[in-house]
Amino acid sequence: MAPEVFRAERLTRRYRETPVVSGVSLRLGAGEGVCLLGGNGAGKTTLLRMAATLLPPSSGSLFYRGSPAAEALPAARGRIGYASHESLLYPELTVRENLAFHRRLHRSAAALDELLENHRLDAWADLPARFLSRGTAQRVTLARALLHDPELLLLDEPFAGLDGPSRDRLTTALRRARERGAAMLLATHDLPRGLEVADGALVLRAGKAVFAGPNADRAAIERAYADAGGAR
Amino acid sequence: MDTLRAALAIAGKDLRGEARSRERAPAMLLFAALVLLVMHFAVGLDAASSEGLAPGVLQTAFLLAGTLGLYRSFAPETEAMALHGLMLAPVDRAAIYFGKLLSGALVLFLVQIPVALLYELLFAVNLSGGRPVVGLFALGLILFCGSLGFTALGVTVAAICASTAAREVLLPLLLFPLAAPLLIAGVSGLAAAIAGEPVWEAARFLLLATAAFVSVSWIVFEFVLEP
Repeated sequence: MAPEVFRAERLTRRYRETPVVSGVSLRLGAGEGVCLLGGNGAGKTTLLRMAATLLPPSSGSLFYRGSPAAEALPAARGRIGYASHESLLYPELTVRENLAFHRRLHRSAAALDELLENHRLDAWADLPARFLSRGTAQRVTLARALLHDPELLLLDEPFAGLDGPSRDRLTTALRRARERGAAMLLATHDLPRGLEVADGALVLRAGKAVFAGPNADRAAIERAYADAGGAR
Repeated sequence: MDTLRAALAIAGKDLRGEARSRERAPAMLLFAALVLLVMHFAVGLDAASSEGLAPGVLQTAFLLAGTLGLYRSFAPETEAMALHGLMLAPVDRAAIYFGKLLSGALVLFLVQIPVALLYELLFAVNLSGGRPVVGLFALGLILFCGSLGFTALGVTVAAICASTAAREVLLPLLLFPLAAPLLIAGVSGLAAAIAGEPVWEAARFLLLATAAFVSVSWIVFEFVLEP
């Protein structure tokens, strides 16, 4: 079994009295990837935000490299690569400046020009993020999330807004990240693409984990996803 | 050292964004000028009264313009939730505070200079007490220490308010009572500078207040930003 990177135990998050995530448990080892599936409002984004330490759970526990969150933080935060629905970019800074800023904070040695080239962002490098199309902003967001070689990737709809070639490049980048030992939790509605980069799936319905299984159970995953309100 | 380096990166990022968007400083400048205009009509500033009223009028304009600046200080962080990216960086949360303090104090100080000049031009008052070099230094010192103290307090209060729905109301309600000692010291310092008297006492008080606000903020800022 691969060394543990991240574990969630009976994770629950309530807004007022309404549970959004209920008792979800999950373990990710180095190089493992799980595709998080479910209809709208299933709790995927909330689960990812809790895993990224951006939202405290109402109950349950989080572990990073086997240590409880209270002990692992704040160091564990620097090892997370997080991409959400929001771009997390500074609108007035150019693409290059946004990436350079995060590279500096993460003390990453990544070569900026290489990073821009790998994500096909050279043409937009000197354009403020404010003027980027949704798809291009998404590519910058993903470049930012990956620039410090994180050991835990938490990606919320990373394929949304991307064109075909960009999806292919992201798929390759995620596979490479996993090959070098990064664990990945990826929420998506793009089931085929999600399963292409993950080892298995966790299906949520109304905040509860209703199915967990490896890619080999493709038919079962599709059934559970359809039952959970996602498109088949 | 890492905290300082990260704070400088954050301040640089804020100043670069401000230089490009020009959202904060021009609005603060215009607002401070409007406050001078309102005070002119409200209290009847003229050649005779403008010198005596200058410290109070100017500090009021700076307080209100500074508060306007604080409203915008966390805007770049919240617009596309860039704060989440910042919070996941392996830097001390205090670096975010110090970065915001550096950029905010610099912007406020740079806004104060033209406002003071405008007051001199409009009301024919010599704010440097007739001493071109020493007087200007004394005036600059009071303005700089005042900016630093106000921002040292304001950044923490703005961060507390940034995540609340009623931030526009909450910010002045929390900030103004706490900023009262700074206002009093700023008025007394400006009065001393205009009268050609030493300003060290007021400057020392402002620096001590800054040190106190920075110490408290250093401890609490981590909890302020914690989700």
